[in-house]
Amino acid sequence: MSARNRLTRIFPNGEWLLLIALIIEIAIFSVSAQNFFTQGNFFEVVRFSVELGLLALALTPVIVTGGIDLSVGSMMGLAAVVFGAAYEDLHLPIAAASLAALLTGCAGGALNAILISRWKLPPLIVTLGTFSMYRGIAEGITHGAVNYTGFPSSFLYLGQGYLGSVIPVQVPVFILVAVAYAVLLHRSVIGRALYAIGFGAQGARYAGIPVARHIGLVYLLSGIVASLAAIIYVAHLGQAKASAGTGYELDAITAVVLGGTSVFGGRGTIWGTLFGLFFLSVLQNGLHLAALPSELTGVLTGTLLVLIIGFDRWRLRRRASGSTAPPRAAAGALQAESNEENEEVKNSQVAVLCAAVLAGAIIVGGTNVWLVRSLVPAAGSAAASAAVPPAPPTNSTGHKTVIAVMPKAKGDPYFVSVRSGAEEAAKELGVEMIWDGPTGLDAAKQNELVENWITRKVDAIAVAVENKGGISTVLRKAREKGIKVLTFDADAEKDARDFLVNQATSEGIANTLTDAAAKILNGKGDFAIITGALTATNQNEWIAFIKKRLAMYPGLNLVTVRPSDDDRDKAFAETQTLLKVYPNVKLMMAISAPAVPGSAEAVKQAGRRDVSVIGLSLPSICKTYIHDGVVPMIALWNTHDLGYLAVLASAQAVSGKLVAGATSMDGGRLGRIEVRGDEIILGAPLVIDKRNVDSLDF
Amino acid sequence: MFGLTPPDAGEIVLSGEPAQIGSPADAIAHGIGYVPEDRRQHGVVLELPIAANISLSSLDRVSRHGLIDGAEEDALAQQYVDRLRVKTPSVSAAAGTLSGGNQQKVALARWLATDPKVLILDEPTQGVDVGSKSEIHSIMMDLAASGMAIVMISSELPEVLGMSDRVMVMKSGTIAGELSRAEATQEKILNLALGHAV
Amino acid sequence: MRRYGRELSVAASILLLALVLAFLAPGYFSGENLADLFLANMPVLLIALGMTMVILTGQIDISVGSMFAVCGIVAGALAKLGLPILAAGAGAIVAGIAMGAVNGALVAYVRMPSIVVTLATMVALRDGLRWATQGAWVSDLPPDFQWLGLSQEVYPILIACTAIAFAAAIAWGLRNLAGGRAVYATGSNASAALLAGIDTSFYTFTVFAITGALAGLAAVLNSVRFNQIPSNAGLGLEMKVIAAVVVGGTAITGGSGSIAGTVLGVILLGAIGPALTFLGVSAYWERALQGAIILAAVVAEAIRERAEKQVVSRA
Repeated sequence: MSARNRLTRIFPNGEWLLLIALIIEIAIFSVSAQNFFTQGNFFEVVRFSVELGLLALALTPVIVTGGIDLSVGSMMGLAAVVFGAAYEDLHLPIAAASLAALLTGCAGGALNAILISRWKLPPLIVTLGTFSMYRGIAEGITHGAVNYTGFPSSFLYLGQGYLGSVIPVQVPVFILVAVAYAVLLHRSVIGRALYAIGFGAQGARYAGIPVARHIGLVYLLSGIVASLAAIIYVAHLGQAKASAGTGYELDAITAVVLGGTSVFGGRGTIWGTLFGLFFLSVLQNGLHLAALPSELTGVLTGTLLVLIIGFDRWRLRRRASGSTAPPRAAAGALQAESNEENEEVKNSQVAVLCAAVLAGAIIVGGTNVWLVRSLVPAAGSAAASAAVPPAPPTNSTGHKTVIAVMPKAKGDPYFVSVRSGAEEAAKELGVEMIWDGPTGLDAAKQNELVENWITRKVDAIAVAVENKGGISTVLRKAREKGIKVLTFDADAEKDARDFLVNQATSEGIANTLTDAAAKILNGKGDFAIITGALTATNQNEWIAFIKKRLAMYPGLNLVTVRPSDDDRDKAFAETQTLLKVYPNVKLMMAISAPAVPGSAEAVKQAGRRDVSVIGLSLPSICKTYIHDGVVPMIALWNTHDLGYLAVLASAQAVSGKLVAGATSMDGGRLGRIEVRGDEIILGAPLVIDKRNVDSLDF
Repeated sequence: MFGLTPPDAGEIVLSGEPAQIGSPADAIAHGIGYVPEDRRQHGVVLELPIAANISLSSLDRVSRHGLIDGAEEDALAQQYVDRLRVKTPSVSAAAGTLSGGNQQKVALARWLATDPKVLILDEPTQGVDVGSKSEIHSIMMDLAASGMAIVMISSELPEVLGMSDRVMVMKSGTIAGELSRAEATQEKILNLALGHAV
Repeated sequence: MRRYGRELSVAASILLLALVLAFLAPGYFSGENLADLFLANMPVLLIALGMTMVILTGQIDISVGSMFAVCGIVAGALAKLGLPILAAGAGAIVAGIAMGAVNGALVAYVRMPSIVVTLATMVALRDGLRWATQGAWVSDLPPDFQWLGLSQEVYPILIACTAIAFAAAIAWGLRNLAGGRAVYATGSNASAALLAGIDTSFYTFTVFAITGALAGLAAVLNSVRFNQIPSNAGLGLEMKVIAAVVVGGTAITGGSGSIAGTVLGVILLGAIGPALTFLGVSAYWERALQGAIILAAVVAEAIRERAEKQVVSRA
């Protein structure tokens, strides 16, 4: 067998292309990103790939048969919740709880399997339905709010510990599953049948293969593996909640498709999927270590996906037109591909087209960037400073203090405003600041970033903690390495950080809002709460304290809590419905930044002058409604100052000016700041109304 | 008869025993093979290698504990490639690279590898070049001589006359008549098919 | 009768829901509520019209949510630059067409699988927008931006006319124009369509571009209901749109389906959420119920089809 032959036999779908891309990627980051090419970093990348990797492995045979499973991420959420509930509410031992989670995965996979293989329903629709349903059941069980924590450390070891202090514990599990899947797909009788099914289910049936049974099997396995991923996820983050695995399905599909598996079925390998997976994880890790913004991940992933798959298609077509092989028949998979090679397009034409399409994409992208850039400084709001392109910090000089600051979610207007304050402090002090975080609320991403920052050897880390239990282990690790750790906005466990920059307690916020509501309603009347996502930790804490405070006001009646998913339009629609269903509601309490303007606009358009909206939001997006009188007040601390103080305190902790036991610190333009124990107090929550709204620039 | 579509009526009797056949897998277990008419859609998987195509219905023969032994599979395939004189450089080439006649031989080889007692051939020489056609015919004669029952479905009269021991003429789903080799002529067959009295 | 089986079963479900509501929550049918519901679901409806055509050709477009967000920001940005509101709207629609055309060209001419292409553009556009805006909203829009300078009463009527006109025009075109037939032919059997002299690539490209345009239009019509534009609009919109189209009976494999079915699908799914609130169902179980309803609709359809087949085969 010639070398070329062997290559195509091992990498039948041009996986070598991706392998080369992966090597180039690693080479680039080795040069440009600090501490990228180290053993420690290698294992961290692998650790953070495990959950996603398991889903990608499970999806590979599904896609090889020409199907798809969109429900894997939701299945993870449901299995995590079942695991948590079994352990904490039913007091089952860990092993039994794991079994319960795996059985849940089994049941979920079986439902998909029956509907798809027995009822012959299209996989895309079935799993679109179960995608909503599984996540919905998880939310229903927990009411979105319950977050199971407090698992024994022997269990957390599975997700956070090291074997021989080098290899993360979950890595061998992953390798085992990967090998099992490789054997199943590439060595076993079943795997062979799956390929035959993918190339044409009818042909496979004629060859005597029990098609329905095999298709059912892959969906069943996919459910089980998703629940295994859920268990590892829980061990990794120390928490089980309904939002686990949100959006993972698309990342996993991206990895599989990038790895050369055809969505039409028939083509694909497990190693292709692994290359795809590591290509994505290395990209993310490298961008973090090189201190480039996380948003680049999506842009680069999208572009590379198009480039690599496009090139692969072009290569396949060239090979097909070069040989005497007749065009292949329709695979009868997700989409008919029957006209694939019927129409000969010259290679040069394809190249020109590719270039044209890319140029178009760049123009579209470029115009958008330009438009927004040209727009934001004119806005004259605090967003202006945030929109200044973050100058990529050159890190070779070495001696400059590096402070890494992480919001809960990057795009949130709240944190956009925190960022502008943080940048102000960084500029003033001449320190280098890295600002990065998850694009949506995602505890796993927070952990990953901290790990990367430890690898990058920053001087201080300031985090707005999304989940206490999940992040504390890694923050302790950072402290062990001599990095100063501060928290702001929400706290980690006390021994996992040096200081907390405390803006206002949850109880303080809840009391301020409840008291204001009582004043507006004269102590009597119905009101409703519009929250963010049902699973948001902060909001759920506030709701709990609001309910507690209500004991003081027997006349006030909370009729319902509705989610807005941090989406202005959804808050708008929810408020419209609420106004009609509960005509006696005279006050909307919106406790998510985008929900206040959404709710206020709905009240305004309904012409209900008798209804007021209050809540937690930013003055910049509520200004008009405050002047209109729809929103009598909003409460918030000064977010701009919060960012400013977080960076300032971090820098002082690094330089030794702020040490444990201090009772006050120099707050720069904020004057003397009180330090109570290990908490730096920003001040009381700010009540924003007609009088002061125009003087606030965030 | 192969279990692809549920039967309307009738029963299948194999070597004197009634057989329940609900799926192609049952048929294979009973020693029935079926080379379908639509070769490209159903007969071979064009994208898979020749070896994988040949072993597809008899993977038990080349596997142990559900795992395929690559060397054994290649050996099995090579054996049939030699026996049926499939023109290909290697058994690892994709079936789609072969000519129509050679693809048909691969489809045939898949079923021979299951060692069937009864082999049903649906239009086995449709769209096959003359050389391969006569080769396929002589393979069929050899198989029949070795004791295999071969049912050939064909709409090509000279082929039917040249190959068959018995001819059953079907007309709109029912058997219109049966002729032995000696009495079968083109004219008689056509009469039956068109519904005239013999 | 059989020809409209799916449309009828969706219509029956809507009727059933309406009956339950009529008894338990008659307030649901107030003109005001219906108008609000219509406005809230208008973006889904407009985009679903395009998505129906995309799915009819056997493709899929999961980037519509991201396109929706980008177009909204573009409209706002142009309006702030001092362009008249109609020009800003047109600009956003052009941006939509451009993005749709990129999808279409990659699918139709480079022949990449549509789910891969639109997955890539979905991620790239969404993160690109986050990068460009840094999460900031577009606010301080010119006063005539909201309601296109019209009054709050006139505007819904205008939008209703627009949406109905678009739905009717596309439904008519799919049925009666050569191009409409070509869309069906491309989806049901692309090689046969090609042999019949239909330029399948062109039609595939076109439906993606139209979907982009409709996403742009939906974004503009939605943005002007407010006086500021968030940068994270349209998250999860693609799922809503696809669910409405498939519940409305369009086959995901292409070639069969109708605009009437899609409109009914949008009505059913759009009506359910608020209906649950009216009926007092807890928000925590809403998503589970919605998923179950999608599954039930598909399973019911499969049972109906199976029963029908048996009747036919027995005859």
